[in-house]
Amino acid sequence: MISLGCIYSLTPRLLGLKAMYSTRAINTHFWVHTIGVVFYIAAMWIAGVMQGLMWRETNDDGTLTYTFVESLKATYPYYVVRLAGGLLVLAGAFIMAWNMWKTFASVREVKPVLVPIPAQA
Amino acid sequence: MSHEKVEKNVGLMAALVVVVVAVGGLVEIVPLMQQAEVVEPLPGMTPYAPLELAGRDVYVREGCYNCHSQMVRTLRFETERYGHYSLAGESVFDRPFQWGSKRTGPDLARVGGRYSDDWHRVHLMNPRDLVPESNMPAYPWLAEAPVDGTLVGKKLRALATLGDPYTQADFDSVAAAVDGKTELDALVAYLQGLGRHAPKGR
Repeated sequence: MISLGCIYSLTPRLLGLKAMYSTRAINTHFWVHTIGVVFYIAAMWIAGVMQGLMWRETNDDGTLTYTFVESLKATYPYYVVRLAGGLLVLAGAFIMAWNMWKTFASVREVKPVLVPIPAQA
Repeated sequence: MSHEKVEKNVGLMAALVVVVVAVGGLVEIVPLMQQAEVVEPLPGMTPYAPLELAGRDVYVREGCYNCHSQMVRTLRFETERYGHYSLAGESVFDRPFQWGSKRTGPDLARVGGRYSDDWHRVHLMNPRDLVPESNMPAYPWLAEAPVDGTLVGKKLRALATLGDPYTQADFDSVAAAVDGKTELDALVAYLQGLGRHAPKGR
């Protein structure tokens, strides 16, 4: 996210502009990305703790309670949540792409350079 | 020398950091290079056979280590699930080792001999055929890719240069060992060799 912020900050300077095409889009991107990452972290954190607990769970006679694949099966809902988080991050990237496109497009138009007419100079 | 002096002179601080890291490295790393249990293979262990070596490189190329560890920890529930905990002597012929750090799939350090060759073949072609809940990718292209004997021979010689005890007989056997074999055969051979020399029991 820091590198994305750097790109947002440096692109207008590169093009000699005051700001990106849309500052509101940058804010939207920030929040979409942040919420996506939070989904991602929360899902994988819970899934990891759950897997660890399932792997070490033993019955009274000392045998293992769960097979490996049972722990994988229990992880699938969290993978779905992670997918949702990932889609939010991806959506943010599309917002950024649109904003970059518009910013670059705004300088692509040729600005007329005023040259004084020699006879009147 | 006051602390202020060190903090205000970048060059001096860099020099002192190098000294500290160098001493720390020497003390921690060099003794390990001599320790017998780390540098000597387990009893009965030989360097990888040509086909297994080819399979090992397929394992690395396909990134199997991203989801499978080869490191059974010294914990009751780990040895109960996989087998005897991993020993340093098992990894002396591994360059680099495949201990891994993530288990999206189960640990493979003791998988050798646990399933049949045919089981592995079907499983690698499509894991869902055998384990419906599996999220492992299928690797069907391995069955169509031949093993390059010339390349395997070169790898054997390179490893011999590094100190693995390969003999001339091993170099001569390469062509026959991998002739007509696919990468799938090689990978199965590698998997079936994992943990073969580890102590039995838990």
